[in-house]
Amino acid sequence: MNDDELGAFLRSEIPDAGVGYWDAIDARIEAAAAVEVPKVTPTEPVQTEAEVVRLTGMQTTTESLRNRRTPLLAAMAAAIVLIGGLAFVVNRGDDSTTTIDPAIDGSAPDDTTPPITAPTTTVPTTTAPDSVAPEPATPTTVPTPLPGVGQETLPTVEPFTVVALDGAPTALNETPGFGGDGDEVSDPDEVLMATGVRVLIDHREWLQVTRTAGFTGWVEAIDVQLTGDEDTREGSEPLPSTAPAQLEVGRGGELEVLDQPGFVGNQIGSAEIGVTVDFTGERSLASGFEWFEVVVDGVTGWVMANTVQPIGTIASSRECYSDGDAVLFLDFTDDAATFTGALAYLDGVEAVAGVRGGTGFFVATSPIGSGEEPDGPIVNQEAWQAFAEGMSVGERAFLDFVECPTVQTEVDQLDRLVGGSYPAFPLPD
Amino acid sequence: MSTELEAEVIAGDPAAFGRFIRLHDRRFRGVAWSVVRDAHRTDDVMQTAYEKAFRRIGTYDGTAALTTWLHSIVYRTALDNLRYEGRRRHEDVDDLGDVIAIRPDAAAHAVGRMEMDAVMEGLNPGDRAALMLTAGLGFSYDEAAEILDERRGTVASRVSRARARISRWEQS
Repeated sequence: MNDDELGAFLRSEIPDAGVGYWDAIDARIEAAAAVEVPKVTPTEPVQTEAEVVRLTGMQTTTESLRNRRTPLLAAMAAAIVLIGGLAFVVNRGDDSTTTIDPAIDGSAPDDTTPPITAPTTTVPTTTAPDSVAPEPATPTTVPTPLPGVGQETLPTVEPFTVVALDGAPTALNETPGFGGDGDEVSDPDEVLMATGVRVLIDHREWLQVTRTAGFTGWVEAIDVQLTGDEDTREGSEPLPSTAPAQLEVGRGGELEVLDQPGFVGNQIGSAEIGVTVDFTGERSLASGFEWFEVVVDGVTGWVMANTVQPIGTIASSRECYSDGDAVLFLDFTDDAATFTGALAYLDGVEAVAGVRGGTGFFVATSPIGSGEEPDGPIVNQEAWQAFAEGMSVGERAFLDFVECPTVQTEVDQLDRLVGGSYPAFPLPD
Repeated sequence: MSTELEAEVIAGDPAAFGRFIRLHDRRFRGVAWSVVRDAHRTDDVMQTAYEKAFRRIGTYDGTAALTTWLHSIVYRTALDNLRYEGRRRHEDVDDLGDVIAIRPDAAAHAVGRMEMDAVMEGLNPGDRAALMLTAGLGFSYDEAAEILDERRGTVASRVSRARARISRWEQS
């Protein structure tokens, strides 16, 4: 196949746009164009009349939810933190009976701009939790255990029904959190009854649901959507405020600071990894995640809670990557559409990280691959040999990590390189 | 040199943006398709990418061509989609199966195409995107490197690896 034939083949494969493609795009552009200039001050969490709250975790559109599911990068960052032994656990609930799960939290906003409006569905209501008056933001440099890491019981709401997002099979766990892999899997279009019992685990909202067959379990709020008529209401649910603290941006790339909690917010600021932000202590639940109000460069806005960490925890999770360290990447996508990730390091020939669940290790691809020499220097020859001698059945990874402050950037690069799935990699003994 | 249309796009004119993306949609779609390999998801990626690009047009600094900038957004959006959605791709093979059933004379061609399709499927998304950009859409390695946010040598390796696999399939 010569160049022309290959090019023609590749172009011929590009599918035509589906019906309604341009209508949908035009509508989105039009909506985006209609957006007002973003406000610099945050909006207060929305409360409806009669002091009701909405389950905002399921109010965004299917697409916006889809675009924000379990971002891998944050999983990596979370893994780094976990590897370092970070375990801030604050159980704020008073009736929790579930074991706290030190699961890897794979949530973070991607860089997809939120839609303008979030069509919502029939919204169950309940009495809003008492809102705690915000305390003055008097940040401290002392790392503070953060709420939401671990488990926090949320106010119970009236029962309501949900269906899996996009009709995709959804994992139903016996216990909330990622610790229990999908014990059952919902059927497409199956209507699940949410009992109204909810918990917040590692900044993510989980709903207790029942099936007609009798199973009672838990589903992550972002994996389901409400049944019923849609409307365009947006909202967030205030959570009890906590002590202000200085936090550190713990994810690579641009951290979006929004003018309100939830994916319906407009970006009003940004911050890079390592930047210190002032957490005011105000928290909110929106779009299935916990959000923190922060001040960045004088701009007050909202960020997803799992994108910020106590100062120093990321750097202390491991001293640094060394040049040439091989990086293993764990990811799996199973039939239950569960997707998670973690990062491990190959320190010489010894993998030094524990990961939960999954179907096995996958080795990150690299610019080299297939045993070819990398276009960067191989600093860690031992690691290279470990791969070259058959520890890996897949692609080989050699990333020329440099200094700690750039680690996340390199992980970001790795994240882009990985992209898909790769052959299973046996975990070294 | 920016065209008048591009200037309007950069100025944030939604109508101009609409015209601009229609002009180049096929090429943008090619990048998205090369990553996600699913027609419906390609549409989803494009819708998200276009909205994202429009919202962020104010961040476009002109150091790269506007189309390059947009290709880059499409590529990243497609990777995001791939990560979050997992891979569920069956319909294209099914479609080819229909072709074989209906047109037996086209079976050989279709089978070859299916095999080639499987080869493409076996490539990693970054390699496919690099191949699509260079071999399919005519970008230089430097341009592709800019879009993929990688070094030129990385892109060259990707393309080389992809071509090697295709060659192995042809020789098998």
